Order: sequence, then C-alpha cells, then structure tokens
Amino acid sequence: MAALWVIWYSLAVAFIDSVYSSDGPTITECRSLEQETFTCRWSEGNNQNLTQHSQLKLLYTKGKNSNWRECPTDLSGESTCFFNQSHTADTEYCVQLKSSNITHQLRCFTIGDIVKPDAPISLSWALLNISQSGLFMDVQLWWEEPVSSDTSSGWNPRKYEIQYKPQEAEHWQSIETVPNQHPPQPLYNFATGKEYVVRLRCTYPNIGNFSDFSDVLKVFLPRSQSVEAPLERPRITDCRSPEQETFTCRWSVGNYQNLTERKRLRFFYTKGNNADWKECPKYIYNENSCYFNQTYTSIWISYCVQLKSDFQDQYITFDKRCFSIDNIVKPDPPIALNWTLLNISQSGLLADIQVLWEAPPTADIKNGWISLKYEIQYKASDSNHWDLIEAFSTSHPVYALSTGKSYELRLRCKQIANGDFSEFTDLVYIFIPATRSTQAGLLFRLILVFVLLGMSLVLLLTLFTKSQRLKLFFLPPVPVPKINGIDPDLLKKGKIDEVNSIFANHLSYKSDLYIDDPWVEFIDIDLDDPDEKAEVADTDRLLGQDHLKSDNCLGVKDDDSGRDSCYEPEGPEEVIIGRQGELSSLQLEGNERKENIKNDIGVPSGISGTDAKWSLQPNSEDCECSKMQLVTTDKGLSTITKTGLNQPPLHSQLSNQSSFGKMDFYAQVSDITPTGGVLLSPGQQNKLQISLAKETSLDPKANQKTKPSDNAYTSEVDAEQFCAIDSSKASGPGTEENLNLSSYFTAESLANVTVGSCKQTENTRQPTIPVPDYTSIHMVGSQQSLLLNPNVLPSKSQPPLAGYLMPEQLGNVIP
Amino acid sequence: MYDFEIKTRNLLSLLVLVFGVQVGAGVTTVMPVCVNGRGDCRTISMGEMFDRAVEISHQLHALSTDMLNEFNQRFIQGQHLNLSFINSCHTSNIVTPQNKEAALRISREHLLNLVVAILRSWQDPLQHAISEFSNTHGITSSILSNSMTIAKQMKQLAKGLRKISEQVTQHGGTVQQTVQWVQALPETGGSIMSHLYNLLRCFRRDTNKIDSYLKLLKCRFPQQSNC
Repeated sequence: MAALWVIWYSLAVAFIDSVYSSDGPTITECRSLEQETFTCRWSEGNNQNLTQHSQLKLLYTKGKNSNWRECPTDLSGESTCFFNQSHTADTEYCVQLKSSNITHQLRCFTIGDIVKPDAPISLSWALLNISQSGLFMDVQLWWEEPVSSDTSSGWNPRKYEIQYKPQEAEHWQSIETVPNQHPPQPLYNFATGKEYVVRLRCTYPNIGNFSDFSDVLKVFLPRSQSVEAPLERPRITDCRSPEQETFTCRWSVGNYQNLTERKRLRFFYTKGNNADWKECPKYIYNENSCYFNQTYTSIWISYCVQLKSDFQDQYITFDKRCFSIDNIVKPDPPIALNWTLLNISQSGLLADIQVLWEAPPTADIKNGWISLKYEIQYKASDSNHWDLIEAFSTSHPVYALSTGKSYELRLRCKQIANGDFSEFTDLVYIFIPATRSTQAGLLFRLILVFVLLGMSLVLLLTLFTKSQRLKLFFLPPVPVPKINGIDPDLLKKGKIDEVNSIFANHLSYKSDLYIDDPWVEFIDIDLDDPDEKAEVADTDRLLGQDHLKSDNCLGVKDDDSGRDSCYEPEGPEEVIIGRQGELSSLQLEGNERKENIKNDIGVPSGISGTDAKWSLQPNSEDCECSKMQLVTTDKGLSTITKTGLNQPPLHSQLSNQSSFGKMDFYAQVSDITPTGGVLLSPGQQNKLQISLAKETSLDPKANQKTKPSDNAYTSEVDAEQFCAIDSSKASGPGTEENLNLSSYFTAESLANVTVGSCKQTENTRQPTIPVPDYTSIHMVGSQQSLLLNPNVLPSKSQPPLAGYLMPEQLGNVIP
Repeated sequence: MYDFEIKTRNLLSLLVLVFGVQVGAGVTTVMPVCVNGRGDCRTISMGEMFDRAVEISHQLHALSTDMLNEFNQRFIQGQHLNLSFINSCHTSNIVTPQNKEAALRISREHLLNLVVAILRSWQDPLQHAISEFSNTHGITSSILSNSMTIAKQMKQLAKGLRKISEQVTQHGGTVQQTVQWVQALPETGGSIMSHLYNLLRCFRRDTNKIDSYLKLLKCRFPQQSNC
C-alpha cells in the first residue's frame, strides 16, 4: 500500500516538475560533513513570484510512514536547513521544498549518501630526500584538516587521494592512502628543476563521497648548480629536551650552494594544531640550532618545526617534523662516574665494587619534575658483550668482577617511564690487580682439602675393612722379655749356676737363689718337732697342700732340672730383699752342701722367709697354712706365693718342693759335751747351719727394719712361723719361756730378734728342761755335726754383723 | 683433617645462615601495616601516599605506552605515523599547566585537582575502550589485559588521590572541582580502530601528564624529603 503510494507520489512530482519551469526553486545540496549532522541548501531560482512571497519551506520525513515536518532549525534568509545530532539518524530522509501547496522539489537520501567531508587545507610540501646526483628528490606532503570537520569524538579518520602531475602534463597520477593516514605523506621520485602540481581530497573510509579537491600546490625544487657530490640537503638533525623544560633543535646545513651561509636557513615552528608558523625564538648560529626556553616550551602540545630557506627565489621547506616534548626528552648523561672497591672474595679471584655517580645537573630531580633510572653497563675489555644493571639511585654495587682483569664501565640514564636513554658517560676502566699469593693460597688450600679428603676416605676404608689386622698392628702380642747378652734358651734349659755365673758378671746382680733356705728351715723345724703332733700335722698338711698346689699349678714338670716349675699368674709377691738372702747364700756356699738336700747340687735354692718377717698379727688360729704354695719358675727363679690371708705378695726364690720332705736337719742332739755343749747329728746339719747363719746374720738393724713392716711383708713363712709358735703355745706353756730364752739369745748376738728367738725356741725345745742357750757354735765335728756352747756371751771384739758374715767372723764362730 | 672440619663447619653455618635469612625474610614480609576495617591502624603519611601514587602513575604510563605501541604495531602498522601528531583529545578542554614553570606556579591543591579531574575523565573512555577491545576481532590478549590492569590501577590511583585530597583539605586547603565532566566517546561514526588509536594516544599523553604532576606534587609537600 505504502509502495503504491510512493510510486504515485513520485509520478505526481515528476508531473509537477514538468509543468513548472526548471528555473524554479531547487534543493541544491544536502550534505553531511562528518556523519553526525547534515545541512540542506536550496536556491530560490528566478521565479519572481515565489521569491516575493517567501513562502518556500523545507519539509522532511525521517524514516518511512512518517509525517512531513518542517526544518528543525530554519535559518531564515540563508536558504539552509541544519539538522543537528538529535535530528540525525541512520535512516532514510526525504526533503521537499514547498511554497503555498506547491512542492518544488523532493529528494530522498540516507546519511551515507550525503556525507562529504571538507577538503583538506594548508597543503604544503617539504623536502624529504634528494638523490646524490641532485636530479631527483622525494618530498613529503603536509596538510591539515579543516576545523569544521572536527567532531565531538575529536577525530574522524579519513583516507586521502593524492593527485600529482608535472605542470604541463594532462593526466593526474593518483595515490590513495590507507585509512587513518596522517600527514606527512611521502611522494617519491620527483625530478628536480621541474614544476609539479599536487592536490588531494579526502573521504571517510567506508561511507560517503570524496571531498572537493584541495587547492593545487606547486612543487618545484630548482636544480642545484653545485657540482659537489653527494648532494646533501639541509635537514633537522635532532630535537631534544634534556630536562623536559626546554628543548633545542639542531640542523645540518648540507652542501647546497649559497645555503651554507649563515642566516640563509630559517627555522620555524608551530605549537598546537592549526597554529601559525613562527620563527625560532632564539637562534644559536654557531651550532645551527634553535633554543626554546621555558616560555616557549609546552610539554604536552604538539610541535612542528621546519627548516626553510629561499632558494633561487623559491621558498623551499628543506625539512619538517612534528613531535611532542614528552617524547623527545633525552637526559644529559650522568656525571662523576666512579667506583670504589667493596671487597675481594676470600679466594682473591673475585671482587665487588660500588659504582658511584651523580645525576645530570640539568635534571630537576629535586622538584620531582623528572625522575631518572640508570643503566650501568660493564664488560671485560676483551669481550663484546655488555652486562646491564638497572639502578634507581646514584650508586649501585657490581658483584663478582674477576681480579686481574680489565673491565670497562659506562653509564647512561633515562626517564623512568618515558623518553630515550641519554648518551653514555665516558668509559671508566676497572682493574683490580690479582694477588698471586692469594691465588696460590687458594690452590694450596684446595689441594690440601682434597688430599685430606682422600686420606680420610682411605683411612675410613681401611678401618672398616681391616680392623682386625690393624688391631694386631697397633697392639701386638706381648713379646718374650729378653735380656741383653743372654741366650733365652740358656735361661730356659741351662743350668741355674751357669745362668748365675753369667749374672754374676753384672755388678748389680745379686743372686737370690739361696735366700730361701731359712724358710725351709722353719718348715724343717716344724717337721722336726715330734712332740707336737698338731704341728706335724700342720706341716704335713702344708706340705701336702704344697704338693697339691704344685700339682695343680699350670707349670709343667721340668724333667731336666728335676724341679716342678710353675708359673703362677698372680705374680710375684714379695721380693726378698738383699742382705739376708745374700748372707744366707754366702753361708750356704761356705758350707758344704749335703746330698740329702734335695736341691740339685750346685743349684742352690733360695728359700724365702729367712729374713724372718714376723707377723705380729695372727691372721687366724689355724693360719690358713694350707694356702701356702711353693712354686717354681722354669728359669729357676722361682717364686713362692701364698694366696689368701690377704697378705701382700711375697716374692721368693725357688725352692725345690720335693726337698721339704727329704730335708735333713740338725735337730737331733747326738751328744752333749761335759761343758754343756750340744752336738747335733749330721743328718740335721743343714738346719743347724741355718740356725747358725741366723745367729750370725741377725742384724739388729735389719731386724728392726723388717719388723715394723711386717704388716706389709708378712710372708707365708712368717705365717708358718706363727703357726709353729701357735702350735707350740697349744702344746704347752713353754713358749713364753722360750721367748724369754730368746732374750738370752738376743743378748748374745743381736737383741730383739724375736724371730730368731722363735727359731731358737724351736731348736731348743727338745731339751725339756731349761738349758743354756746354745747359741754359739763351739766347733764343727768331723761328721759335720755342730758343737754348741752354752751361754757364750758374744765377745766384745765381735762387731755387730752388718748383714754379711765375714769369713773371719765365721772363723771366730767356727774354730 | 682440621681444615676439612672447618670447611664443613663453615658450610653448616652457611646453611644455617641461609635458612635463618629465609625464615627472617618470611617473617618480615608478612607484616601487615594495617588491618582492614580497623580504626586503629596508623595513618599513612603524605609522603608514603605520594610514593605509592607516583609508583602507580609510573606503571600507568608504562602500560599505556606499551599498549599504544602494540596497538600501533598490530593495526596501524607501516603507515608512517607520527605519534606526536595528536588530534584533539577529549581532555584537551581541561586547562593544565604545560610546563614546569606553570605547574610550579599554580597551587598544589589545584594541581592535585587537575590530576583528579584528568583521571576521572578517563574512567568512562577507558571502560569504553575495554569493551571495544573485547568485542573487536584481532585484539591481542595482552592489549586487553593491559587495559584491564590500567583500569584497575586507575581506580587505585583515584582512591589514593582522594585520600590525599582529604588530608590536604584537612590541612586548610579546599578542593575545588574546577574541571567539567567531559563527555564520553560517541557510539557511532568512524572506524573503531581509529577511535581507539586516537584514544590510546590521548591516554598515553595524559598519563604522562599525570605522572609528571604527581611527581611534582610529591616534592611540593614538605613531609617529602626524598626528591
């Protein structure tokens, strides 16, 4: 229905148009510059009647099926109608001119159909490049948007069609730019010395029509008469703001003839859009630069600058560029770059340094107008690679530089968030000499550490794998003691006298072999006493025990020596000290040895106990006599040990145990002389001799010496003695008497010898009546019997014996 | 062996030291300055606030520069564009000091107001740009995430500046809303890319402006010493 109506309507319009003359009022143009608003213009034509009435009105419909409305903003008298943004939509419009019910013209369109931007203005060109020969050049085309095309969005992108041709040519050459293209647009390969014309128009990228063409621009560069090659045009080399407050532009003059003169080149600038060109506020001619101080500097406004000169009566722009100050900030380089040594590593191979510098003096850091960051660059002199460090203060450490190596250090800075880096500072060379000693020291330490590690490893390994062998190595089995110059075999198997003779060579050697005879004596005495059964029994038991012990002992029977040898691990118990032993041995040597002494002939056996240590403290009633042992060592150096009674060990010479049973004693009185002397039977010669020896050897000093030490040195023999005494006590009261008798004995020889008296008592017990003390031997019978004289007081001439019975003394005693 | 022991001991002590340092670092990093929602947390000094504001503005400017460069590379490539040649921006209506002298001449309160005004006038355009980015085919994720980060940081900066403004007014100054609200981008017309491109260029310029003003302001408050 609507379509039919439209068709009818258009037919009607066509009819009316044909009816009225063509000179009537017409809509000359409906146009939108920027797709947001549009304006329609009309002409009233030459129909006088109509214009007089001024009844022409523009009506429009917006979209289909809408009513005709009058122009929203009728600018009376100007024959235009402006549709602003509120009346503009992306739909179909129809407009008609009406005057008093006569429709003069009707047009329908969409916005896209009527969009047509204004033509660019201010077309200009600048030299972009010139060939070395000077025959060709590249130019850049500049233009501006007309102000009217500015929209509320600030910017409407356009694309341009640039047309150019040599002046005399007929056809335009055309280039179309891409959308969003901003000036400048380069144009290439223009010949110099030839006149060109350039024009351009623009359009919105996807909509509407091209604008009108701009004014035609003439491009002409006179050909240089310079023969210098290569030809260089004057150009702006650099625009830079060192501190974001001022800026300077520099240019090079090039080698154009006549242009190298000063003041022939002029520098212009514009600030902001569509501003006029102004000349440089301050030329610095000797530098070919223009300085803009603070008043001429605005940071966030676009600048354009150009270099111009009149050249052969042509005003030529040799260079042109645009920028904003915040994009050309390039600080001055930092100053006072220096470094100090922080420390050198322990190895001496590496060093740390602190790099110090100062901010460029131009930068206003104090006010915060500019804030810089720094870039430290360093490298080894022989390297090409720069290591970078970023810093925000004016000092920064650089770690781990090798000593003995030369480094190069430089620094530059830039604004933290914007702009370019400054130039570098001058190179600073770093050389930290390497100390050779530390190097060697390090090597040494390294080697030492590795060696020690290896050693400890080996040690650990051996410890774990060969611990047994190592133990053997470090704790070898105890070796057999060796005496220098003595054959151990001899000591083992040789005769004791041979050994002795060898020992005799040593001055310090004192034979201990004979000193034990008195000990045997006591036992003999014990055995000898037939009256006291207890004693006998005791002795028997003792001997029996001894035998038992010797059987039990670890020793092996020494067949060669005829002795039982035994090593008692409990060890030596008491060493028989010196004099008595020696004395007795001397005595025994002096005396003839009997065969019935079971000791081997020539092998004197020392019997301990002769020194008659007296145990003052009876340990027990029965004396534990059974515990006494007699042991022999295989060397003939025998020890007699007695365990038990907690007594200190007694070291004694060997005695042949078997001799005890078979020993003969001078216990039997064979005869009594008329003078009261007693003749002991030869069978008991030994005992008598010993008792004689006792008499002679009893040294008061020695006795006194030994007596106080009885606690410590009480021997089994002493115990034995005690036993004897004990038993004698038990047998009768004679003991006391005997003791008393002993005083006689002492008086005769050496006083206070209780041991002696004890023995004496034993010896003299046989006569039941008190008898004179037979302490002095009157004579020795032919049958080796002793004749004892009663009550023989010791002669004053007899000096107290000092341990030894000298031969002459013996002579005194034994006539 | 002794040497070796020393070495091992050193090594051990080093290990202990390292561990200790790490523990120490862990302790020191977890040290809240202020508990949210509590009135008893200490007031942050003006200097500290400006430090943070400047830090953010640095980042803003760096991000906007990155974004513009990437956008340029991707969509406006090879067109001999001169970045400094900027068509008018919507914030051009805000009259701002154009150099250091001018910036130092005006009062710090006014300068602060200008910064706030610029910042505020970019909130809507930026949101618009983000929505455009997310609708536009070919926008890289980095541009999108950059723009989102920028929006976030702008909010933070605005918050911080509001606090600074409060303190400034407490100390006698009055915040004058000297800047008119600038209308946002129109929905129609032109190429979106062109819009966005110009927008980004304007934004970059303004972030630089904000950054410079803030740094200047930071040093103009007497509490601030490290300028």
